[in-house]
Amino acid sequence: MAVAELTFGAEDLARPEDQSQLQVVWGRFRRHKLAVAGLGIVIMLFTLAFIGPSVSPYDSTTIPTGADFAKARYLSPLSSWVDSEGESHFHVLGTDKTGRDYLTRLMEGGRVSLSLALVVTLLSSAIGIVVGSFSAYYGGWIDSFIMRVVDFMLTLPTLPIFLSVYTIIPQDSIPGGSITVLAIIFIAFGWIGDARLSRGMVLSLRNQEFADASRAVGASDARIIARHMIPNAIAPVLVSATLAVGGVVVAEAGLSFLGFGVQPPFPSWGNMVLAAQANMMSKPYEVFFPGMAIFLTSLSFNFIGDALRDALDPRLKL
Amino acid sequence: MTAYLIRRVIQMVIVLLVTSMAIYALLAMAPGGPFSGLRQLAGAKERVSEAQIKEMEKFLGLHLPVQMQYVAWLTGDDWMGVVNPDWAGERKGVLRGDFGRSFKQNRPVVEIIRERLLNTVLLMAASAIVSLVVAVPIGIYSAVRQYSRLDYTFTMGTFFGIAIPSFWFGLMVIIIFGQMFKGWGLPYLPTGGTASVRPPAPGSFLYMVGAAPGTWLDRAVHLILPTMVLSLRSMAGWGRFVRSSMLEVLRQDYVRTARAKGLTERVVIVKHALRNALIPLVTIITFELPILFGGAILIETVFAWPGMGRMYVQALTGFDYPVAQAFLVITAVLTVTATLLTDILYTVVDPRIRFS
Repeated sequence: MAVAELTFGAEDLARPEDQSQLQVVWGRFRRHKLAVAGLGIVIMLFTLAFIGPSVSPYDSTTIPTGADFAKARYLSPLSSWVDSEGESHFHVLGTDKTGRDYLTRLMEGGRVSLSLALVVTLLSSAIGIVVGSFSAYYGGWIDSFIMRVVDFMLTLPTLPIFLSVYTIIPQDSIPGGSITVLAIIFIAFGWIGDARLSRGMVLSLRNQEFADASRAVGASDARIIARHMIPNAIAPVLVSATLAVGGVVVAEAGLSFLGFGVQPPFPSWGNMVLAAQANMMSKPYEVFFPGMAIFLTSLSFNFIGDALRDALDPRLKL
Repeated sequence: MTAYLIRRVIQMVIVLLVTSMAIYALLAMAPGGPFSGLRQLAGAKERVSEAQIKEMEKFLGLHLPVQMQYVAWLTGDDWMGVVNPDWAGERKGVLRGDFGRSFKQNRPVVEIIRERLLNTVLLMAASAIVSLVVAVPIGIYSAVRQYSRLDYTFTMGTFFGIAIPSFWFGLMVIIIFGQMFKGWGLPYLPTGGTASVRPPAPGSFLYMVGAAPGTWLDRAVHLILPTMVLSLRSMAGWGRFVRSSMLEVLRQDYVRTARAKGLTERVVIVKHALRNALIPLVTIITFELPILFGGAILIETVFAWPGMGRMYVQALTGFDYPVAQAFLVITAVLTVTATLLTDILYTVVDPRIRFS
């Protein structure tokens, strides 16, 4: 009984402290006005991208057929047309060259670009943390081998390699096609930075007293790494992951723009810029909007990451 | 130092050898190849027989086993008759500067590179110079007047420069300085290529400065927009770097000493602080040159700039693998050399660092 009471008491004490830690971080984060604005923009973009397409009356890939096709194509923003059944259609940002609503495609493209960036960042950070902390914790030749690989990969110019790797992976045989291929490429090169960061943190943590204490009470290596090393090493990885989301959005857009990314009919912000390039002199806004979305996403995540660095640990320097 | 250098060069050769294997293997796995089109031809008359394809494979050296193809690609096949008379050919190999023949253009890859390399180097050099000329003064100013209004403005600019997708910025610049300037009757700039073919139209910037097609002035004007876009990112990065490096130096004791002995602020900053603050920049720039080289891929595509990056993209989309391999090899050599050069420069600019 006494033991149970004690445990209860300890939990009770721990709870307000957890909260205050979060409040401290939020309080420091809030001081960065640009980061708060960035957070607002990110929330707005995510809402538009994930809820927008299902609210929109149009579909992002359906092309009007028959006589409607000629009527619906190349419409400028804020214009409407009446289809063969007498129904009127209004397009806020007009339509593209095949008569698809541009705003819907923009939101759907955002869904593709943003979910790719999120999945890639989550997975590559997870891999990076695990590889980095195990490598640092055990040390030895495995550690030096992994770090050799990491150092080598960090010097590689990524864009040319991405292009080659993209060419050699057969897309038709993979579920998800080009989007999966992009995710694989980004994750394959994305974990290295996080691995280096978490390795550095764990190297300094593994010989501290609390680690020795856990070892003394008989905790297994896996438990020490999972419960003590990783939670203490996570701050810099969290910051770099925030910056990486914007980086992946820009990288995806660049590859898609070159034709080595998300393939039509699926829209992504990158391939929308590519598609709009052909008519950019007559319809410059078609280039402007998807690019502006990429820019805003990347800028916002940069602001957020910068503020997060300050908020999580003022001494932290990346 | 000599021993260190020798060890580093040997390491460099090994890394390059492994990289060259990886590059060859990567593109040997790629789909397509020079005959993919021939096999797909529709009419029975146009279709090439398997025997003819065999003959062409031999002509291109594709009849060898894959690992020997790599050896032939690297060292040439003119000596291979010694091993197997069937393998003998006339290629000299990458090590002797022969990158093979382009599948698409049916001429030596080296010839194509010779046409393209200068354009890329020109663009890179112009961008590096512009970045430096802008970044260094901005970095110094931001550090000396830390937290001033201009410092905040420059910091914002840095964020913009790092976050903006370069290809989109390029397209926007084309729309504004090419298209809209023309509409507004302002001197608009050329938006593609390295030089004009026709005399400039009245109203263009080229006409205003009186640049005849093909002259150096004409080329310089064509460089303006691509350089502006390519330099933006490194400008932001280097500016930030100079700022933080300068801030660190300004806190040093010897700067206080310089001030204490009554030197003017100008002399303190230019002669004492700046010199030491710029040391690390030299190494950063060398290290980043390969990145600039890779980054040029997007910019060259946007501005139809006939450089190496665009050559690479065209080679990959056209399954022209000898050209793509050549680009990757050159990039690898550039990267490894830059890394070595960076390490050496560390010791040259900062004698306190010693390698053993």
